[in-house]
Amino acid sequence: MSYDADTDTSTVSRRRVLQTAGASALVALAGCNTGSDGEGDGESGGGQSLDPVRERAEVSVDEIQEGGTLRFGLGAGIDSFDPSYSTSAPSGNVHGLVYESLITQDAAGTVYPWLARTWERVDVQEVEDGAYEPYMVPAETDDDGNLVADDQIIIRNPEAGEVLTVNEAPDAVEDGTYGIQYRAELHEGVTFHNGEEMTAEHVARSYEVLENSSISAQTFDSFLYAEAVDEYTVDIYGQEPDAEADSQLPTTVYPMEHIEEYPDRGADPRNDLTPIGTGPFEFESYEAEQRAQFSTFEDYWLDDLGLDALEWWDGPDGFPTSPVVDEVTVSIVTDDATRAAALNSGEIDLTYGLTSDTYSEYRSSEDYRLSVTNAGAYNFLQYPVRVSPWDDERIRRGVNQLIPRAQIAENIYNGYRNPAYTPLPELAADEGSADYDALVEELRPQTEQDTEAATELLQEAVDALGVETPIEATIETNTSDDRVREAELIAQVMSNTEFFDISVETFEFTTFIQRILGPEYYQQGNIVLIGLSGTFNPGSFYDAVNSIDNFGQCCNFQRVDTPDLDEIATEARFSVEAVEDPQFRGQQYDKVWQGLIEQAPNSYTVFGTNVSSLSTDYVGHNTYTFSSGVLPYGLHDPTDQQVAYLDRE
Amino acid sequence: MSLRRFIAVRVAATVPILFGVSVLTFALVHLTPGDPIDQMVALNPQISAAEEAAIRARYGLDGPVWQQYLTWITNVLQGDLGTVISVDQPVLPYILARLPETVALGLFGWAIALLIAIPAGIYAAVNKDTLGDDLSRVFALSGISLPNFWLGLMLILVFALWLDLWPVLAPDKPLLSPEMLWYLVLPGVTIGTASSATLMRVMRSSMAEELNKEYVTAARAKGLPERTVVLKHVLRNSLISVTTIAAFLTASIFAGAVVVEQVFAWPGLGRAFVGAIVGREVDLIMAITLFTGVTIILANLLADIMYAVLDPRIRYD
Repeated sequence: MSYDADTDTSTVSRRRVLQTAGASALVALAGCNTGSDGEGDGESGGGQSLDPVRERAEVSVDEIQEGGTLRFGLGAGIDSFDPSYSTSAPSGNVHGLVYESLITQDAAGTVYPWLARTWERVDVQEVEDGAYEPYMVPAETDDDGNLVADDQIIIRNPEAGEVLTVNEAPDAVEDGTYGIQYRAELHEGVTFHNGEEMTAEHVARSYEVLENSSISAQTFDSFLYAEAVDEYTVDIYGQEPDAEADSQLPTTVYPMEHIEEYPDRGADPRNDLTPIGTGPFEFESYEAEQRAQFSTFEDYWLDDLGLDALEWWDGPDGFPTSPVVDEVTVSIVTDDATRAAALNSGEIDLTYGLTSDTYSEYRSSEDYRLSVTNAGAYNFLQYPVRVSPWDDERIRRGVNQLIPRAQIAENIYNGYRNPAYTPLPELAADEGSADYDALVEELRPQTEQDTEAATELLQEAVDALGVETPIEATIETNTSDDRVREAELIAQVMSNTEFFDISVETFEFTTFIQRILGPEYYQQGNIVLIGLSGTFNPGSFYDAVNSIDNFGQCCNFQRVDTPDLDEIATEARFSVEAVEDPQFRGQQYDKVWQGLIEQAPNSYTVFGTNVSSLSTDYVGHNTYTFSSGVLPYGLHDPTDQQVAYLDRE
Repeated sequence: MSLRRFIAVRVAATVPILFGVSVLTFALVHLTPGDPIDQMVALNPQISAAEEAAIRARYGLDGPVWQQYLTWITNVLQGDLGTVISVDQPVLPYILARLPETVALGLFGWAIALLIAIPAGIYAAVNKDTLGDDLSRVFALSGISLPNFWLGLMLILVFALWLDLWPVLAPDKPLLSPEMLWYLVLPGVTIGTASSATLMRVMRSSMAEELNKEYVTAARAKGLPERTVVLKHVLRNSLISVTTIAAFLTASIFAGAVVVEQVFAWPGLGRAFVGAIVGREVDLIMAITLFTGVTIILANLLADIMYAVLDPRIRYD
C-alpha cells in the first residue's frame, strides 16, 4: 500500500479563518453511550414542524400532579456547574435547571424568545474583506507562530500580525462595521436566584463570562459586540451575515455577582461558588461524584408573569408556568448496569444512555417506558483519501454501496437507529435542504446497499488503477460494543467481495481519539469508524468532517479537502442571501450533500437517537434531541407544551 | 536493633522505592497518547492552536517529559501535588475528599475478609479432609476466580433487586451513619471475598501445620480442652503467616476498590483513579499511585511490627 506524500500546509488567509471558524458549529465525537455530545445552540428560522420525538407522550392539564422529588440518574460526573466552562452533555442537564438563555429551542430546533420577550434581526449586511483591519491592534506571536493577546480575540489577521479583540469591537460597530444585528427586548421582572433583577446590562456583560472560557471559541466566532440600549433592550452584533446567528448569538444570562466576582473558572460549588441563574430550580447541594440537589425557585419569573408573557404561546389554559416537580436529585452513577439496577429498584426515576440490550426489557415492561427521539448525530466511516487506492473516489463510492445500513440499524441497534442514506439527518432538514424527501430519493440509489452496482464500480476502479486485490485495510474504532459490532459487520460485508480483505482494530476511546487526531495518521491507510453529534444547524454535519481547517481536530482525520463544497457551504451560511432566503440556503446545502455523496470521502452509516429509560411513575416525559437537555426539557418546556409529573401511587 | 531504628530504616528504604514508582508511573502515563488538553480540543474543534498552547503552558504540559517530571517532583517535595485539570482543582483536597470513602470501604472489605477467613480456615484445618474442608476449598477457589465486577453486580441483583434487602445506590447519609454502614456490606463483601479466599487457605495450611507440632500433642496429653488448644495456643502461632498475607492484601483491596467503586457508584479514590486514567490526568494518577504505594509500604511495616507482638521471640536484627 502506498500513500500520497502531499504534506503541504494549507495557506490560511484571514478571511478563511474568519469564515471557517464561523462555519464550524459545536460538534463532538460520539464515542460511547454516556459520552459527551455537543449541543450547540442550533438554529432555525422558524417554521419547522417535524417532531423528532417518537410516539410523544401527551399529558392532559387536568391530570397533572404537583410536587415530589424527581430522581435522575446521570451516567457521568459534572465537570463544571457553569455552562461557560463545560461542553459536556451530562453537565448540560444540570445547567438547564439553573440557567436560562435569551432564547430557547424546541425539540425540532425552532428558536423561541425566552428571557428575551422579543428576539429579532434588525440588520444584515455584507462585510468586505479587510473591513475590520482599521480597528485591529498588533498582537504577539507565540512559539508556534500563533497570535496571542491577553484579551479575548475575536478576529485574527495572521499576515499582518494583528487582532481584533473585545476592546476594539465597539469602535467597529459604532462605525457600522458588522455583519448582522439582533435586538432583544427583555421581559421585565425576571429575577436571579440571589434576588437581582435581570436587565439589559446583565445580558451585555454576560459575554464577559464567556471570554477565554471553554466555549469562547465558538461564541467569539460569531459574536462581535453587545450593547445595552436601555434598561430592558440590548443590541447584539455578529461579525458577518450569518444564517445561524439566530441561535449562535444569544447567551446564557448571569448575575453581576457571577460576572464581577467569580474567577475565570466560573461558578462551581466545589470552589464555594454557587451557581446562580434565572432558571426554575435553585442549586441546593453537591457531593462530589455522588449527587446534586435542586429545589424549586419560589420567585421564578414565568410563575409571576404567566405564559401569556411569551408572545408565541398558544397552548391550553392552565398549562404549568414552571416544572411541577418540587425537587430534583441528580445521582451520578457511571456504570450502566448499576444505573439500570437503580432504575429497576426504584431508586431513580429517569436516566439515559443505557446500552441498547436493556431496551427490550423496558419496552416489554409495564413499570418502565422508553422515550426515543431522533438525534442530530450519525456514525460514519472516513476513508484514507490521501492513500492509494482510497484516493480514487470510485473505490469509496463502491464501498458506500456495500454498506448494509438497514441491517446495521435493525440488527445491531435493535431499530433504535435510522439508516443514513444522506449526509444530513432529518433533524436539520428544514434548514439544510430545499426538499429533503427529494434529496433522499436522489441520493438513496447511491447509498443503499447494491452489491451489483458496487462490484461494477470497484471492478472499473481496480482495472483502471491496476491495483492488486484483495485490497487490505483495517477499520479502526473505539471499544463500544455496538460500534465494534458495526465495524465487524461492515468488514465482513467488504471482505465477502473479491476486492477487500478488511480487519477491525479497537481502541479505548481516549487513546483512539489521540491516535486518529495525530498529524500523520492520514498516511496510514486505515478506515475510521466513529460517531459525530452535530447541532440543529446543517453546517455542523458538513464542516467538522470535511473542512480542511478541521484537519487534526474533530473530525477530519484523513486530510479530507473539498474546497469546492467548502465554498458552497460558506455561501449557505455566511451571506446576506442565506440569511434572508431559506430556500436559497436549502438549495446551496443540497449541492453540498450531493457533492459529498459523489466525492464520498466519508460514508454515513446510521443516524443516532437519544433514548431515555424511565419509570412509569414519571408521567409525560419526552426526550430532548440532544442528551444535554434530557432532564430540563422533560420537566417543562412550553415550546412543545412539554411537562412531566410524578405519580407515585 | 531497636524497634524505633527498625522503623526508621524501613521508612528510609521507602524513599528509593517511591522514587522508582514515580518514575515508572510517570513514564507509563506519558507512553499513552494524550493529556486532558487534547481531550478538550478533541471535543471542541473551535479551540485554536494558540488557545491550546496557552492552556497547555498554563498546566506545565508543554515541556519535554523529563522536564515535566522534574517540575512535578519539585512541586511534590514542596507539598504541591498538582492540579486536576478537568475540574481545575488542586489534587490534594481532591484526594482527601475521597479518602474517607475508600478507607471505609477498604476497612470493611478487610474486616469481612478476616471475619470469613479466620473461622473458616480454623474449621477447615481442624476438620481436615472432611466435607466442610472440601466446601471451604470450593469457596476459596470460587472467591479467587470470580471477578469483582461480576460478583458486585450479582450481589446487587440478588440482595438489592430480588430480595430488596439493600439499596443499589448509597443513601444520602453521613459516612458513619447506620444506613451507610449497612449499605457498605455489599461492596465490602465484594471486595473482601477474593481476599478472604486467599487468607482462608493460608490460615488453613498454617493451622494444620501447627496442629501437627509436638506442643499441641503435649497440650492435648495434659488434658487441655480442644477449644483451648486450638484458640489459645495454635491460633496465635498460625496468625504470623496470616498477618503477612493480610498486609500484602492491602494492595489487592485497593485494586478491588477501583472496580467495586465503579459498580457501586462509590465516590472514593478507586473511582477517581479510573476517571484520571481515562482523562489522562497525570497529576492525579501520580498522586493516587504514590498514595497507594505509601499505604502498601506502611501496611507491610505494620505487619513486621505485628510479628513481634504475635511472637515475642522475633527480634528486629
